Amino acid sequence: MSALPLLAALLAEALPGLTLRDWSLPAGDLLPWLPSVRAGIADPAALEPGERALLAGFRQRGEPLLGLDPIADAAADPAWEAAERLVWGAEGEPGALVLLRGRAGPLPEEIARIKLILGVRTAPESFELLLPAARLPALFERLRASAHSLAGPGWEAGGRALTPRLASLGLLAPIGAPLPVGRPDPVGLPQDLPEPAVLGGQARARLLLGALPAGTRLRLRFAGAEPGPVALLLDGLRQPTTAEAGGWLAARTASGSGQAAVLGLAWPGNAPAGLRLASIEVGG
Amino acid sequence: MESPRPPLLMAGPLPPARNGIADYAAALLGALSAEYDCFAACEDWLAEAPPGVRVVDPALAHRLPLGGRVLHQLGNNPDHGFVLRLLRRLPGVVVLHDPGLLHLHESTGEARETILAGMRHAAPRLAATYARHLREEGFSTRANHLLFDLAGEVLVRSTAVVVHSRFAARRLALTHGAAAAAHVAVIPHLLPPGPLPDRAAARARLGIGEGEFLVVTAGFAAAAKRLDWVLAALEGLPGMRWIHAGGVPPALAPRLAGRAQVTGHLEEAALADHIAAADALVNLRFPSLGESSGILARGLAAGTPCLVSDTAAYAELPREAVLHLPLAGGAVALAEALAALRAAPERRAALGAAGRRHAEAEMALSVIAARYAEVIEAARDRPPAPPPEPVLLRLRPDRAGIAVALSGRAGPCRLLIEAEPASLVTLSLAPEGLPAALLPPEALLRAVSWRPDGLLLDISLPG
Repeated sequence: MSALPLLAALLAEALPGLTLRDWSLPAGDLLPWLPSVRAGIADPAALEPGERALLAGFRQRGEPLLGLDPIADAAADPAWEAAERLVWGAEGEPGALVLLRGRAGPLPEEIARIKLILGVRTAPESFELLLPAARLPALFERLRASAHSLAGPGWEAGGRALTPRLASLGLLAPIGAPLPVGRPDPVGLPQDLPEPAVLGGQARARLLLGALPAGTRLRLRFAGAEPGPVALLLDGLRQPTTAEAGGWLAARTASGSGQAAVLGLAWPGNAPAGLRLASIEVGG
Repeated sequence: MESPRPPLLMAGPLPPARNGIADYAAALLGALSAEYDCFAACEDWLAEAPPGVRVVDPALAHRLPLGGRVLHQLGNNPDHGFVLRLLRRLPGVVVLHDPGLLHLHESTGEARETILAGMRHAAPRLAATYARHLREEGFSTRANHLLFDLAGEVLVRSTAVVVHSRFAARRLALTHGAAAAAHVAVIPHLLPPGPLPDRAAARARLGIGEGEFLVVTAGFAAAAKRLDWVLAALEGLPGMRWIHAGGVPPALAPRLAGRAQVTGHLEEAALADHIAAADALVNLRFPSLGESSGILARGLAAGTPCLVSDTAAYAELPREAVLHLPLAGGAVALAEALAALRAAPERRAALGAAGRRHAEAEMALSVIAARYAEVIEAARDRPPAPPPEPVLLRLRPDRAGIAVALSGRAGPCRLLIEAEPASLVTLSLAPEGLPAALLPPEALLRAVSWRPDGLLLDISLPG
């Protein structure tokens, strides 16, 4: 089990209105777990040609993925004007908090760190949140309160501020405990549709879901029309699906390659007029 | 459980695409499945792959653990645009069903610069004159399709190339040089899986009378299949019945209407019935660039007497297995041959039997699949030739000097503008922008990057 759903839930609870830039593609670690993630590639030169061509085909709210088009990257991004901004998978941007896996190296005087120990009790994962030292007390308290709010029976949650520049917080689930479900916004996900989440009249569509462990449950719900004989593909290969109560179409990821999972939808002919993708759920 | 067979990706159209290469690919995939764990990269994600073969989105094919086993099926029509694009990202063995490829490039939106570069690569001297219409006026003539094959890029990017005739292999070597074509192998066209229908049963299903002499042409009636010759030949042979088992271009349909029965595109079983029922399968080509014919393979397999043009790949077929028609003879030679066949049933039977023997010996699916496996395995560790580096010119940021340096050059070119950053910043503030401040108007700027020793510009020049 990955601790990322828990990390995302903790951030969403503690930082309402958070905007996040996930620079970890081709993995896309946090993309599936938060609704307002802008995806990017920190090192596009390292992409192999096929992966670069694949990622270049996606648009997120009409824009290319960050890191692939310097001109588009330099354009104003109203979403990035949010009060609380967070960067994952890159060194940071002015005014934004930085979240990373493992441990950051030495930090300047004015930067503090909150160590986050998250996941299942038998396999905890370690992250660090880097922030201005002046913000540590307030932000740590919000995170601690959120951890207690998320914790269920049998969970361990708690932490403390050790110095003005260092705090530590743990949130550990017992084995088998249900973890938070990710609900990425179908309109906000990177995709190759001419109009985000609008499927009607299209023969096929690709959406970039982000990193999903093998066997992750995926559920889709459509609106606007009956979806008809839709085929669901993950990472380019057709998967068996089941219809679930409430109009959900469910499948499971076959392999966790470490690269962002790509959801494909295809119809013989075209998707019915008016059809759109209304909801996506991952995990659970 | 892990599959003991190594993985293999085949890229190409599959049924229900109305494309002979789709049928070919499906047949070959089925046979290769015995040896490999096959995936089929197909633009139609819902295409009909043989049992046990999984269709994969070509955009994600690079993520499969293929171990260097990739087989591209490339033909000269827009159904193969995704194969060409995939080859550029995922090198492998290419089956070049038609060495032409100009129509593929033109019909799939390839950049004019790419097409012109391919023409220059194929025939530099011819390109100077015969590419003029495209270069200067933006249109392509039919002659271009014969003069320029545009297979140069495929030769460079592939780990091996398979063609179906020695003619095609020789043509590639003569056009592009022996070294560029050193990795070309010849594997004959394959026979479709399963037996063709019995002649009598097929004729009964189609309502062909015992005494009727049935001439069949088949497939999409492109101009090179010379249905005009067939039409002229059969005007003098009113007792013969002619069925065209396939589609025809709209311009040709009215001309055929009074003489031929045109079925339109047929599913495999119906197509096989028509071919098996025929007293003569006429499969002409002129001009030919060395393309192969699945229709002819079916005709040979069925034991149907086949008449072909004595040219290109067809000229390589044994004289006893098919009836070769001289190109110079045109409709007259065809009419004489058909009349002779009608008058000699024993000759028809001998011709059909010899054709079937040849096909079973040389074109059996299992034999062909084994030869493909040999090529695929041999090519695994052979990297594709590195693409040629564009010429690098080191120049000062002087527009007139750059124009002189570029004069007479054509195609891709790389300029290193050696200057202090400050002077380049000044140039970039010119009202028309940096490219116009440095480059002649005909130069197309493709990429810009900054290096410690200057500004690197990748450009493309016409011509």
